[in-house]
Amino acid sequence: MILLVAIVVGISATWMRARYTNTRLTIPELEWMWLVPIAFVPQWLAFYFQPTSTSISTTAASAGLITSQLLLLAFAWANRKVPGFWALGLGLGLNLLVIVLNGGLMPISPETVRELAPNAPSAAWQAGERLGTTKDIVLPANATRLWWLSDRFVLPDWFSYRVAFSIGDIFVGVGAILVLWRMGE
Amino acid sequence: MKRLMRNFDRQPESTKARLMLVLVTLSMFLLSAGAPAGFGGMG
Repeated sequence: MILLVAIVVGISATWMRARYTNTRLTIPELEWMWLVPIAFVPQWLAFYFQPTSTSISTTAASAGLITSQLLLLAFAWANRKVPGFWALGLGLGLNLLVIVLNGGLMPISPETVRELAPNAPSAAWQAGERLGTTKDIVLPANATRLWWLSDRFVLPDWFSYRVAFSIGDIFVGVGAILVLWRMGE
Repeated sequence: MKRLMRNFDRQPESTKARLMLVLVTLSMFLLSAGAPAGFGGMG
């Protein structure tokens, strides 16, 4: 959910820019937009919709995640000429790479989980298992392929919202802001 | 926020509709392409 902040930041900045420069927004013509809702469905079932996200197996969740991200990669490629999509595609590609190399879910180290939830009971998560109903699997850093691409960053303590994110997530967020920002030109 | 909404209202209907479509598409893309983890739910 935190990535949606990029949408709010991007559209607010773009609107202010358009107002300041007295220009009209130029909405990009996106190709293959229908792919995005199709790609969203398996993730919605596996991670967002509680009745299914709590009962789905880890194998099905990871298959849904990879399928979904491959479809999104096709969408990003189809729109590669739209300013900002290079960052969206790169971020998605980095996330997909580390997910595929680590068994189908985004790795997160036990240390990062402890930073996220220092007061969580020890039974709340286990190394080698999926972290709740998230896209993450808890893996020690030394057992993670391309560890530096995993969910290893956390927001500073003064943020009340606790979340871990990856380099890929940063590119995805920047890409969304760039797509929206260029609409104000 | 009020200014933003006023600005949005001033846009032509076709621009508003296309902008909403792009925003919804981008939101779904972000939720699906990113993988931030929040404890006990999605990031």
